[in-house]
Amino acid sequence: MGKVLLELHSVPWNEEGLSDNARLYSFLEFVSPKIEELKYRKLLLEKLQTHIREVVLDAELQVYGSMYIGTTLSISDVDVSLKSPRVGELEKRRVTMVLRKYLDADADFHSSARVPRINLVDVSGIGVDLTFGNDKACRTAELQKAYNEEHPIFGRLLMLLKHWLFERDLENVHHGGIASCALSYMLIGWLEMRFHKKGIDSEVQPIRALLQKFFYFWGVEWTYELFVLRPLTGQIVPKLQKGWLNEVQPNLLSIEDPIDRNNDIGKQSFQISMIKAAFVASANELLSDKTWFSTFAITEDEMFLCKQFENVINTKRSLVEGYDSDTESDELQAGG
Amino acid sequence: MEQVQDEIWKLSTLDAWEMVNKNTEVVFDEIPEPETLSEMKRHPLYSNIFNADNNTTSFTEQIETSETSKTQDSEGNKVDKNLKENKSIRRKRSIDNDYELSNVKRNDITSGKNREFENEHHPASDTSSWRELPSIPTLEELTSKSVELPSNNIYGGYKSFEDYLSIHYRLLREDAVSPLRESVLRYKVNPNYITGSSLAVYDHVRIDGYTISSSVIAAKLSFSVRAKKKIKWATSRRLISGSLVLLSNDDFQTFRIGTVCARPLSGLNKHPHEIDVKFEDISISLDPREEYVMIEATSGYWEAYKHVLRSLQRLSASTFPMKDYLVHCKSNQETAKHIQNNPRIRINSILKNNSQKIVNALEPFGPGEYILDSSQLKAYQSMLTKRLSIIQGPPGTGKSFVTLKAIETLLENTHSHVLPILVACQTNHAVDQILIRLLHQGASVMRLGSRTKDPEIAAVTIFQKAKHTKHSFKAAYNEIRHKKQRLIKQITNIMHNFNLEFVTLSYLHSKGIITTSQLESLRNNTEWISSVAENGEKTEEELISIWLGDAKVELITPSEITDGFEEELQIDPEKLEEIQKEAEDSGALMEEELRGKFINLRCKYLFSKLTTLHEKEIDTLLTIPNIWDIPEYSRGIIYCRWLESAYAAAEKELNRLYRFYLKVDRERIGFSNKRAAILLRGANVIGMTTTGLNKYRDILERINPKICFIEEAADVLEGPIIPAVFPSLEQLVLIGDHKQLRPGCSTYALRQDPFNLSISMFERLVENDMEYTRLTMQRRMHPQIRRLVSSVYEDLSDYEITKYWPSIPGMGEIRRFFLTHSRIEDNDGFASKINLFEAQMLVQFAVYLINNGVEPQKITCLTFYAAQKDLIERLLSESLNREKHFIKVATVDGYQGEENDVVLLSLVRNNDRTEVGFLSSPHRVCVSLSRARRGLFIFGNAQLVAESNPLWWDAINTLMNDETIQGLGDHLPLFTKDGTIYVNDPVELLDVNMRLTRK
Repeated sequence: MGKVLLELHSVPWNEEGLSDNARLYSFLEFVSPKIEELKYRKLLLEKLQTHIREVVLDAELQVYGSMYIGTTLSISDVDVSLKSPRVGELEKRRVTMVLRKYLDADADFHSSARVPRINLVDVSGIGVDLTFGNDKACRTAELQKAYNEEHPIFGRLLMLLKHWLFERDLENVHHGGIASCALSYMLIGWLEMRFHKKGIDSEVQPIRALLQKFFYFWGVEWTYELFVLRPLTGQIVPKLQKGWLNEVQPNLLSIEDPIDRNNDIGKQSFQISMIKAAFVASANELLSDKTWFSTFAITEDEMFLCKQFENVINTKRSLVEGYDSDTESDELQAGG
Repeated sequence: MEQVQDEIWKLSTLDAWEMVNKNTEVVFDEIPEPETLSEMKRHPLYSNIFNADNNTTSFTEQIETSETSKTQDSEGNKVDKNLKENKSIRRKRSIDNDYELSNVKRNDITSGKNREFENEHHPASDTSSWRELPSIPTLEELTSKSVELPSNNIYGGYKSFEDYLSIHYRLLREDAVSPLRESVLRYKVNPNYITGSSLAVYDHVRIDGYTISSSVIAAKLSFSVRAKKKIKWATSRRLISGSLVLLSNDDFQTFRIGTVCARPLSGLNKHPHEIDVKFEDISISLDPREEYVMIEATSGYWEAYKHVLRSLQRLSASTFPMKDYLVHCKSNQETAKHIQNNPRIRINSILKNNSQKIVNALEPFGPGEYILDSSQLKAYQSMLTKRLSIIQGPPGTGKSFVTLKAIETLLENTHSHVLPILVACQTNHAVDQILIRLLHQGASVMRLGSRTKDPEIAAVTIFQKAKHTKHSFKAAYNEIRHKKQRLIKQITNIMHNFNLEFVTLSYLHSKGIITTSQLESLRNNTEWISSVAENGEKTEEELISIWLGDAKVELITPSEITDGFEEELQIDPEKLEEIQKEAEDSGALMEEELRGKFINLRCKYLFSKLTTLHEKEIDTLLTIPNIWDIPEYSRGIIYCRWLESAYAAAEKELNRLYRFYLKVDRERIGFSNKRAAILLRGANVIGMTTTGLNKYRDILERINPKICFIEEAADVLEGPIIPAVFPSLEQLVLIGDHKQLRPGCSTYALRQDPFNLSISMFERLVENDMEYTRLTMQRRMHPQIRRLVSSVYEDLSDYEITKYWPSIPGMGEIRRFFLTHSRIEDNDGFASKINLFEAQMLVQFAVYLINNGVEPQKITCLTFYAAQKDLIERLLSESLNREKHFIKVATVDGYQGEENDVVLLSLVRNNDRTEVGFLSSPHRVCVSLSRARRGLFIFGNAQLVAESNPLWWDAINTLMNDETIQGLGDHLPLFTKDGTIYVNDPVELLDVNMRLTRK
């Protein structure tokens, strides 16, 4: 399923004598952004704002998604919404032009998408997802942030799971993966159903067991054809009752959006059976004492991103020295 | 019973209907009980969904079984004996791993020390950096005069996995690089070198334009050939796609490396010739007036190595499953996991008369009605059970047949989780053969790789299948296409400025290269021109042309002076096709060929540089506001200066875009690989060539193959097979014969000790006392012929039927004969040898056999030398009319794996220096003697060859000591109606033939 999983020789989480929890946390620490990365992200947002203000004078940006909730990974995109003012199609295109000029020549404007958006990739490899007046997403982020503050385990698990998806190339919903929004609700729903509703404290559980149970729940126990998840209360609603059964693809994942009860968050994942298989595989893998950690790994793509980020930081340094290392590193990437 | 079901059915519909109506929500707090679930499933909307597939339940089962086995394990109550053994093995392996790890660390330290030491002398031979080497040769590699190579000790295994990989990587890379390096050195020694057998030189190479296709940006090069003879491009080995070319404009102090990506014959037959080349240094140079020299190494073919080298770099020790065998040469006793868990199998496919039987695959099969002989049965069992199974199949013992049966049995028995099975063969033809037979058995087969001619196979190629699934990833593909189109547009926009004969001054001005007054002066001072010319306003280009005046010189590519056609770099049209096919589909799903927008940069004029100007003069001239004030003789130089800066600016921008373009293309390849992997998961058997195995490794690795069959494994270098050991592999089956031809490599020195590159993995494992099964019953050769190879294969016995092969008409009972003679060989002018007498004798003898009623397609003329092969072909076409097309003429190297009824073998070598060349290679001799079914007739010098090689000695002894039927002589006995005639001269044979045809 996965791509080439790279091997790093001396990684902190492979040290001997670590407990399972400690290993996972050290891995988590490794894949979380470093301070300079976070700084760079802030900088990027400021840049974005100034550039957009060239077109939309009083533009105000609102961050949502992982950066807002506080579950940013090095691989995460920056999700940002143009909160005010409301802009029309033409302005959106002009914003795209401006962003193409300054940030990424390949910035894409998806006008026909359900939520019109501009996608671009910064030189550092960090993806930016700019939407317009996306209140729903902001409210979702607020909700999840609050949940995270109440149950910090949610954030940690979510980061691990997001990384898990990224390793398996399942992070992109358009390519058959699963949206991070759906994933977070899957996690919330499961936590509620299995722990909080029953009065069990999820914080004290060993994290490996939690992951295994989560995978087992979504890989084996859940009947995709029949159920709709109601995340916040950890309840199951029959699909028929909601009228959400898609007879062509009966096994689509269905999750009721807590903010809009008639919205199904999960249905976009058209390759859910593949994802399910991945869940089963990982559930099995985590059972084995010997190989359980191979569930997590650093992939080539991630290394690539990291390198790219480092390049950006190094360029700034080398520009001072009057030496242009940017072209060289590009060459290396293309050649290798 | 039916009634009850009916009621439940009704009830649940009703309930559902009510639920919706009353708006009373049904909500579960936990996953409901199985009963409730099954009731929910009984709803009519779900009826066809849940009956169609039981995916969910199978998943549950899977995980349940694994859990139960775990609990059993921990309780220790019912632990199987097998399981216990398995565990102990596992533990042992983990200890080994630890040991190895510590070993590696120690090695790292020592090599680190060495490196410091080495760095002073050989910066290129850094042992640890091999994983970072780029996929094209580096400048250092191509210019260094000496290389340090690791020795390859084939006995007793390697120090560590890293060691194993690096040795094979570096030897293989050296094998690939050395022909190129030699070409460079040879050119440097003698820049006037006229093409020889290993180096081809091309002059007047210019970049004529760029083709921007959807997958590559290729430069169109025009060039002239430096050769004495004219080239037949259709069948020439020169510049075939995938080969590397080196371009230089400073006598190879520096050079650019390019890959030929298309060689349309229409372009090659023009003068100057044209080909499409992709530059590997990822930069676009625009100057069409720049002239390069291009060289090509005609031996060695980079494309064949490229994928293997890349795959080797990506292997890692922790995910390599067969280390114990391949690296440490431990005995291959282990059974494959899937058979260990499930040893009872059905073996219908090898039983006679359709009977059913279930046997334990781990125990010897009982007596029964098998269609396999005892050695085949053993091989069959080994293929099914061993983790690493090695099968030696001497000529005609039916190894393909056993392979086929084993695959059939696997398909019949195993659960889907060990599927798909990979099958790799040397040639496209062999892959297709196996796949067709499996296809007829009803297997779901998929062919990975080039388009094939066979319509049945063509229907199951991945290209064909991909056509039906264009819709998956459509969004992603469209996104990529849009990005690409935008990039292509940007690139073409820039390039169009250079499309004209002269780059316009307005463009130069817009780039800030010339001043506004200079631009305006061009037109402002031209009233006198328009008054002279009748058609009024001139275009800017024409004005520049006038302005340049005599400073421009017409560009001419000198014509080639050639005489006759080039012979030495010829190649079989079929073989050429085979090579090209492999090269063309570099992406698995690349549907388009090199089609795209072509931007012409070609120009007619050069600029005169007869006068030289001082830098200061140039500087002042460059600033003259009215360009007509620049003296005419220096206008060319000035214009060139402007162009240079224009080119530099545009190239910088283009290279930036090109890199984006490549990035997008990588994305595209990623998606097509993903798509291909999804398709491949649906197949049971996936067939490909050994090259394909490496080329498509990225895709194959995604589908986690468990079983891999490699045919003719003794004919492949070790390097290309190592990547076939996928991390998920449970079973590797190597089938081959190390007594027949060894794999070839381009550098002769690497074949020998201490590098031993031509020792295949198969041979190495056998030499290290790995357990292997030999097939011992041959079905090809008549016993008379088989006895000639009995010194190689001692325990080879004959299948009953071979004794009754009919004898050859006109030859009595003689089925093998060695006609010994001492006519001296000739040189064909190059490295190859010919022997006219033998060729004539062979051809006349073939005619004699045909006259006696042997069908021409049942005759093969076999020889050791390519030149002799051409000679025989020529003579055949002279003396036969229709039949000549049916007689196959082949070299020994090209005929492994094939057979025919009658084989006429020409040994060629015959001299008084006792030089025998190829004839001394036991592997080649073995192949040449074992191709014939009914008759083998050898022409050569028996004494010379007998002394060259013990194998010949034994064969000739067998022939001489046969009391009943004569096997050796200086006259060939012919059994005609007029009695036995003895001939030893082509003319006598011709005479016999004339008499026969007259009747």
